[in-house]
Parts: sequence; structure tokens; C-alpha cells
Amino acid sequence: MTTYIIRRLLLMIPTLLGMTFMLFAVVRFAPGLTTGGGQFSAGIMQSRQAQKQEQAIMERRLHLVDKNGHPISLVMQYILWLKSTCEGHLGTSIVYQEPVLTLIEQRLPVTLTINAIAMAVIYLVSIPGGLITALNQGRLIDRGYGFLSLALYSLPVIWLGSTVLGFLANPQYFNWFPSAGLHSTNTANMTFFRYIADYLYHIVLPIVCSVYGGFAFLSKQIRGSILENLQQDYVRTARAKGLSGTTVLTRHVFRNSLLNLITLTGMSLPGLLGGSVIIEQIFSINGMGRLAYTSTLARDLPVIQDLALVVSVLTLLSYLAVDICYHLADPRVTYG
Amino acid sequence: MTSIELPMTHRIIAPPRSPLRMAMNRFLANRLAVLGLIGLSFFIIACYGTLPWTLHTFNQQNLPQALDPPSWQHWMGTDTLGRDLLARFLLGGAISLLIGVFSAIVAVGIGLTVGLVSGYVGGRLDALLMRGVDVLYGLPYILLVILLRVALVGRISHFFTGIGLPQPQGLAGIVVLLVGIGGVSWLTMARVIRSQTMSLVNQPYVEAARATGAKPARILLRHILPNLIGSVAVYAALTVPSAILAESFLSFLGLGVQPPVPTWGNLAASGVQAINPIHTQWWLITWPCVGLTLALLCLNFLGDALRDALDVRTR
Repeated sequence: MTTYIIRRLLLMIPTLLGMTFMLFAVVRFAPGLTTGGGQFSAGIMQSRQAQKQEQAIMERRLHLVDKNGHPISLVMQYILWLKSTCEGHLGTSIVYQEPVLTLIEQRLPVTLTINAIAMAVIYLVSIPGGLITALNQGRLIDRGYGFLSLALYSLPVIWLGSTVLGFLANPQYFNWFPSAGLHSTNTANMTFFRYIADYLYHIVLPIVCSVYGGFAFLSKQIRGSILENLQQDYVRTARAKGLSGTTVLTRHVFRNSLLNLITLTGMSLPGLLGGSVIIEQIFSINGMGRLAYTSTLARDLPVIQDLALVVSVLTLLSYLAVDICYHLADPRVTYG
Repeated sequence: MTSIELPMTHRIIAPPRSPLRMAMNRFLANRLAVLGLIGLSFFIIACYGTLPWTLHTFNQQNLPQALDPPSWQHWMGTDTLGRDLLARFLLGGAISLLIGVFSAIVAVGIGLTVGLVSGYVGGRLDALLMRGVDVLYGLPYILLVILLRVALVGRISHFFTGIGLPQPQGLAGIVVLLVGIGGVSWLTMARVIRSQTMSLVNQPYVEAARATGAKPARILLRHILPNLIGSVAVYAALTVPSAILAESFLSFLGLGVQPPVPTWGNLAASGVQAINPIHTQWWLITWPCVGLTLALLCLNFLGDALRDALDVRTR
């Protein structure tokens, strides 16, 4: 097992290189580069001369040009970036004037909590949903659930999101929910439980919006794998030897269907880190998605590159974790 | 008791049914699928049949009538510039559907090629391609589209100016949008096609074809590809609605098709701004979103029914 993990970790290196180079090329291929926004916000008007100078410094720092101002080839740029990254120097955002790592540290927990809660809700609905629809195949409840989940999946989140925000978090109509942010203003003098409650109250609408479209796919997959397992020989054997229907279901069918579920979960794990640009944009949540979006628009090269690096590493690690879980859940799966 | 004799004889005489025929029967037995098909046909006829009218009126401004609620003259009301919303809605639908279909074509093209090659060649190439797919899955796809857009729009519009096309900027935006959305939607398709190709490669008839000296290209195109048509149809059908949705997301972020050219996505996006505490112009957001939702619903019903009818696994 240890050998396997080490080998997998080593195999990650070429993948990472290829991935980062691809993104690097796309990012650098795009024209334009932002220069320090910090000076403008400080209220100092810059002369054209100073702007040009700053641009030149920035280009040199990002290894776009060499010391004499000659442009560097793309591959060389990549090697220089790789070198400084391997030495532990992650970039500094041009727009925020802060290290990228600090930005990620601020935003990753926000996105991760919201996505984790949303995923838990999706699974809590979809697993019973898939089970019930599979056992009532073709009946009204099966068709009704299928229709409803597909209908929800078809509802564009920009509509639902902005509508609930416009009507349920609006003093003119129903002022039930906060319209933006994740905390009330007076968090300092709250007890711990009060704080958690306040947080949950703030994320109700974002969670609802990120959850409602997810039922259709997962329920359908679970339903499919349960139906498939129900037709297997071992189920007939278990029935024949006199086990009750519930025991067959929980001990045999459901357990085997879980294997399928692990693969599905593994494939969706990287999505947890990314964050939904749309939902974070609608509800003004400062998460990973919004950071990536704003820095792409602002052409904040260091942030885009390092963000891509961090997300790629975390993605590959989560794939590895899934494979290990797979082994734990099904002892038949071995790794050489 | 007399009523059961006819069906028995009838069943014996009936000719054996082909897999396609059986799939079609399963599809037609699904009432939601038929409903989706009817709804979609309605949208297609309404959006494309009215093109001669909508192409003339979609950008006709009439400022005194700005923000009129629905009336007999303007069935869906008018927008902030007094343009007839019905015309913009219909033309927007036509463009949205077009974006969905073309993105699906791009996605099928890439996904099919990668999946076939990866599954057939195997080995290192397969490992390389699939790791690439793995990591692309991990990145937020909207981001990739934005990156591609930022990187390519300037160049393509420059190219279009070079060959003398009208409105190079707008055209380049649409082309990049199609390529971008299609270019990130092929991942699931590639995975499915790859795994199916891998199982088909070991079938006796493929071996027989190889024994007769058929070249890989011929084996892939004449022997393996026809067996994959079902999956291709399913995933193509499911890509169309997701591409339309992706366009609406991008429009919401201001990166989709640029006004004055309407799509359901950017009509909805501009309608979102109409929800405000002062005066809500409900028609601006309701119509495009209803159109979007209904069309997506029809397309998803279709795709879902196709999957049930053609996909062996979930039957």
C-alpha cells in the first residue's frame, strides 16, 4: 500500500507539469497585464512615465522580459516560473498587493464549508431518493421524483438565485434573509453557538441555490446501480436462503451500490475546492470562485497561475484519496 | 375469455424487432420524452419561423415606449430602450439553441476523438490523455472558458478583419464562445467513449477485422464507431442544455454574447438588474427565464429518455 501511494505521488509530478504548462501557456497567450492597483487606491496620481516604469518592473518580476528588456520565450518563462515556485516563492497578487497564499488561505475555508454542507444535503436527499425510486420502479413516486428532480435541474441558477435574493432578502418584500456576506456585523460579542447559528442563517440561500440542481444526476445514478444490483445472482441466493427483504437490501444491495457511489463522490471532490463563480457572485461571497474570476478579468497573472497550481495539486490528492477509500471499502481491489 | 386469442397469434406473426426499433419504442413509451419533443419542436418552429420578422425588429428602439408592461401591441412588453421584448425573446431563443447545438458538435468532435484514440491505443498515450481529463475536471470550467475567451478573442477578430468579414468583433466573440464551451464540455464524453472502446476492442469481430488486415482507422470508423452511436447520441443530447446554461452563466458575468444581439442568457442577465427595490419590471426577467427553463426542461427530458432507451447500463 505504501509503495502504491509513493508511486502515485511520483506519478503526479508529470501530470502537474503538463497541467501547469498548459494553463501557463493560455494565461500568457492572452494579451495585457495589470499593473499595481495599490498606487491608485492610495490616491496618488501617476504620470505616464511612472506607469511605464512600473509596467517594466512588473514584466521583469514576472519573467516576461529579461534584464535588458528583451522578451523571453514561453518555455523559458515557464521554466523560470517553475524554478521560483519550487524554491517556495509563490507569487504576490498585483491587484490585492498580498501573497497569493494568504488570499487562498482566506478564501478556501469559505468555499469549502459551503460546498461541504451543500454536498451533504445533496447526498442526504439523493440516497433515500434513489433507493425509494429504485424500489418503486415505474410507479407514480418514481416518475414524480424523476420529473421533479429534472425540473429543478433545468431551473437556471441565475434566475432562482437573483429571484430569491430580490424577494426574500429585500426590505420591500420579505426581509427574511441577509442579502450578502457571511456574518452579522457584531460577531465579536457572540457566543460560539450564536456565532454558528448566525453563520448558518447567512448561508441558507447560497446553500439552497447550490443544492437544488444536484439531486437529478445523483439520484438517477444511485437508482440505476441499485436496480442493477437487484438483478444479480447473489441477491436471488440471499432471498432463497430466507433472508428478509430488508436484510437483503441493507446488507447486500445497498453495500454494493455504495462502491459506485464512491467513484461518483471522488469525481465530484475537486468541485468542492473550485467554488461556484455564479453563486458566489450573486450572494457576494468572497470565495475561491470569485477570486479566480476577478483575477482572470483583471489579468492578475500571479494569482491565476498559483491558483491553478494549488487547485491541481488538491485535485490530484483527492483522486488519490478516493482510490485509497475504494480499497478500504472493497477488499477485493488491490494495488500492485 | 374470448378476447385473448388474437394477441397471441399476432405476436407470433410479428417480425423480429431490431435494437433500433426497440430503442425507439422504449423512447416513445416515455411520455415525458414525447412531451419534451413536442415542446422543443414548438420552440424551434416559433424561434426560427419568425426569423424574418425578428431580425428586422429586434433592435428597433422606441424610447417613449420604454419599459412598457405587456400589452396587445407588445405581447411581452418592452425593454429599457423600448425594444419589443417578444422579438428579442424569439431571436434570443434561436441564437441560444444554435449555441447549444454547435457547442455540442464541438464537444462531440473532441470527446469522440480523444475517447476513441485513448481507448484504442491504450498505454502511455491513454494514461496521459486521461490524466489531462482528470485535471480539467478539477478546474472550474467557467474559468477555462473565460481564459480561452480572454486569450483568443483579439486574435480571432484580427483574423476575421483580415479576411474581410463584417462585424469581426461580435463574430469572434460568438466563435470563441462556441469553441470555449464545447472545449470544456467533452470530458464526460471522452471518459465514456474510452471505456466503451476498450471493451469493444477485445470483441471477436474486431479481432476478425484485424485478422483480415484492416487498418486501425478502418476498424475504428467501420467497426467500433457504429457501436458507440448510442452513447454519442445520449451525451450530445445532454450537452446541448448544459451548453445553453453555460452561455447564460457567462452572459450573467458579462462575458457571453454581447448586446444588442440577444440570447436567452443575456436577456435574463439584463433582466436580473430589473429586480430592484424601487420598481420591479417583472417581465424583463420572467419571459427569458421561462423560455430558458422550458427549453432546458424539454432538452433534459429528451436526453434523459434517450439515455434510458439507448444506454444498456441504466435500463
